[in-house]
Amino acid sequence: MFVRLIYSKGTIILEGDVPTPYGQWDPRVRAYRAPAYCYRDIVAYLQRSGITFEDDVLDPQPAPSINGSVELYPYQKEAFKRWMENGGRGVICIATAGGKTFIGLKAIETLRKSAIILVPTLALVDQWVERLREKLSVEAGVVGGGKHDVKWVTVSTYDSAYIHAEELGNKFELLIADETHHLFAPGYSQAAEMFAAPYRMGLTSTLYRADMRHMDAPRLIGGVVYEAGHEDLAGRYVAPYEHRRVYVELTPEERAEYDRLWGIYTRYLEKHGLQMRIEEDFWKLIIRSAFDPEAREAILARNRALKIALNSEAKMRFLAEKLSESSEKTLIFTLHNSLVYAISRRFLIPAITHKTPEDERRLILSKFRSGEYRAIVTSQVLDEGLDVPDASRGIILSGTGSPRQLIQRLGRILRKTEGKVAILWEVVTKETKDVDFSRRRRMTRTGG
Amino acid sequence: MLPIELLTVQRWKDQVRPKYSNLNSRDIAVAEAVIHTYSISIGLKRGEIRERISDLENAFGDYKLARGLAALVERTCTFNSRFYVDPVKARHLLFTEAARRGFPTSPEERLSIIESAASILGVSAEQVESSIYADLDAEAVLESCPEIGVKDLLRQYNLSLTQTLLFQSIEMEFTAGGNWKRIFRAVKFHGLMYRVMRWGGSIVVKIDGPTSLFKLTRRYGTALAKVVPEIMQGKPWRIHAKILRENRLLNFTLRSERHGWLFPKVQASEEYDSTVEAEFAEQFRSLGADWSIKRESEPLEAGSAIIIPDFTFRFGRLTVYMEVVGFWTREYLKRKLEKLAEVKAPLIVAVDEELACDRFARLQSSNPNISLIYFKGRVPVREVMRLLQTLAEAELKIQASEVKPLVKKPIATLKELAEEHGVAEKAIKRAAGKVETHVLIGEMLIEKRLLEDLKRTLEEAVTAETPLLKALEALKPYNIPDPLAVITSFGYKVRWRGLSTENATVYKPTHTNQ
Repeated sequence: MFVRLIYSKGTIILEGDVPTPYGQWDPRVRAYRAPAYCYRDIVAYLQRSGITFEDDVLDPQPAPSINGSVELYPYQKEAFKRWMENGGRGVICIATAGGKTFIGLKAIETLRKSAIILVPTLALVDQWVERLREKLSVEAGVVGGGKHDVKWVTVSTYDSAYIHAEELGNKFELLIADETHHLFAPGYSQAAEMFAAPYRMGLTSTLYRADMRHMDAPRLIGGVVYEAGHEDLAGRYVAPYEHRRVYVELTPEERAEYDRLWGIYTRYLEKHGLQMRIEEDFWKLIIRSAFDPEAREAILARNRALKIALNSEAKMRFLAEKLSESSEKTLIFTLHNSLVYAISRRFLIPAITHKTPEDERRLILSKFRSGEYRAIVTSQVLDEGLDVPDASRGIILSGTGSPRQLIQRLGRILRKTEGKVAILWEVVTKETKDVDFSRRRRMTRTGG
Repeated sequence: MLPIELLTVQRWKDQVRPKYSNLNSRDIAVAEAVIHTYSISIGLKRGEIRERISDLENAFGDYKLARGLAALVERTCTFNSRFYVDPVKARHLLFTEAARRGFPTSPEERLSIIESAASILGVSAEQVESSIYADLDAEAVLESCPEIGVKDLLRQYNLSLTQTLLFQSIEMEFTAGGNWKRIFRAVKFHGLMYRVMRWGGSIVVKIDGPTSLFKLTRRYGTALAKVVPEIMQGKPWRIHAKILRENRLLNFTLRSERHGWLFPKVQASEEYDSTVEAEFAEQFRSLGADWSIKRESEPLEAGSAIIIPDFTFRFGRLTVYMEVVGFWTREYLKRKLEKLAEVKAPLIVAVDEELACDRFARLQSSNPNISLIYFKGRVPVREVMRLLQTLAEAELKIQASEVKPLVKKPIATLKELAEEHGVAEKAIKRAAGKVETHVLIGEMLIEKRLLEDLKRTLEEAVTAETPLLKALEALKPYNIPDPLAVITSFGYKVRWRGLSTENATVYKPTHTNQ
């Protein structure tokens, strides 16, 4: 018996007439074919069974020399040790600001395996490239944001990795999924199946997903090997913090308009006996709107009402007050880009959204670090992973009802510096849907 | 292709289809309004134009149609950012100044910061104000907008809806009446895989992707959508896709005969994509052979794969293909040889001399369907013709031996009989001897009994040297396709005077060698 393993577009073809417990017969090519992620298991199976095989699967780029060494805090060391003991697979859950990136760098330094790092945003691509250069003197390739440069270590967005999975799937032995919870989105999880990388590391603050797809972790990346929340780290590794909720009122005009618009929406629901309990209920309403103009009007009214609640004048006044009160470095969070730009124009505060060009984003962050800029207003792009230098105040003007978002936004102001106590304000408009969002954010304790 | 939220579908039982525009007057009105809106919005910002479009959406009630059409029109437009000072620079100045002074909480404070930046930049405060975020997408200004036909836009919209629905497809089957090469080029280019099946008389191709083997996946939906325009170039076509929507598997079917008119008109595609091939076809036709020649062919099965030869030659029911192998990479050649080894139809393989190698020679001996020709520079027409004639000869023998023409009519032409039996005329000619009731005269088979009648009629009409017209007149009641052949077959001679039958005469030579 003789088998040859070949990589083909996100799959492994087993040439030679030897069935394995992985994959199945493909009449299109007259050979057995298995998903690429089974590579590690196939090799183990063939070795155990004493079947000779030729392995032509992995085709990494030439390795550069690695210089430098990554120092870890004790809890990071522990996390890395557990991951190694688990055979180089598994998810590490550490609160935002807990230095997850360093554990990933340590894995590259220790294993010396070609690696791909998957991240959710271009901002994070940048950050990883910088860290790799800084700590390991490795010049990483980038796939995403218009770049396509595959190197021994490559940083890619989940999106681009999904699009180019066929081509990238056999170039890496180690796959690091930063903000791992993204990996379980239906499309991305298939990309994870198309990579042959036998070593896999997940890094996230909260693995939990409302759709429960994170249950797929053991198959795609490995189970949770380590967990530490803000409470575990506060004071020692991240700054101590306060979370303050502030309730504000609509102006009488805003209130009248809000009630009118919200009324249109709720009357439609009553008339048709609809209830909005879960997200899918709202989707049903959107589907109705395709053929029912009244439904569409109801949705438009609801959206306008929400905009009034989320962007209320009182919130602007609160913001103005906080900005004039002290010059401590501040991050301002909103739900929508339109408000980001409105605030940026009104208060002359630099804005970062997913549309901000890379160079400008870097410039803003560096000026924020040096103190030349004192505040940044942003929508959701800074929610995840990106290191924002030593901000100590966060103001959430609006957000989704997602607990993850709240935790992540909190994490943005927790980088530890001597004597710092971080404050996160959450501004909520009274007697509107906004209250509901705020309540939902706090409902679930997250974690693996 | 459109964003998925702009797609509406019709569903019945397990069938699904986009809600196409049937080019009715309401849709035409919407399309006209959308096109008009863009054409009068030159100089406006993208965001402003989108607001105008959203007014239209509400006016016509069908916001998806208006928005979809707008998305298609917007793609053909040119937008540019306009500003007085570099927005990045202006922002940096303003942000730095604001951070230094403390953030402005009144309009006056704000204006004074803007004025200070304006004086540094040497422009007015208004100019700074209008430049702050002029580099944002929504702030880009419409520069030009090409003319689009209303119906063209709606047909383009229908095609886009089709492609958008196919984003959610897990596999697609199709058949086409041509354009196969380009279809398969697209299939391969987009990383798809195929299987070829026969369904009735036609070839059906099923396409999906490598990982479709393991589960229903929409991963290849975009790629499948991209193949569709090529399929639509090959009329008559049929497309059948499995769509995974809201966790249900639905069927989506289109046929050119019923739905073709909904989609953009087929662009007049060149029959030949290389002049070398066009030249070859022209030379071949100029030889006036019995063979017809057609560029391209339907796919031939070659093991689990297919090949699409460059030419199809037809002679009666005999079809021979030709594949020209020019310069290719080693890997391509290897794959080609593997496929050729499994071809089960008569195929001429014209190979560039420079590629000549043992493997081609082995191919010919291992696969009896293959005939090899080597060429230098251009494919030799005469040699191909010789080869075809040999094949035709062999085929004729077979056809003639197989066919026993059953002739019912008193007079039947070879052409009629060939069509009736699906063989070459020449095969009928050869098999004519086997027909006991009839005799071969010229290109006709004539019943023996009738022949006696004809003979008598002529003997009565032609006593001495008689005008040809008179002889023909006598035969007229019998309705013979080629009466002259009958006349000469009885040993009469025609004396021609000029080219017309008018002055010609018929006579019986006194000494015949019959």
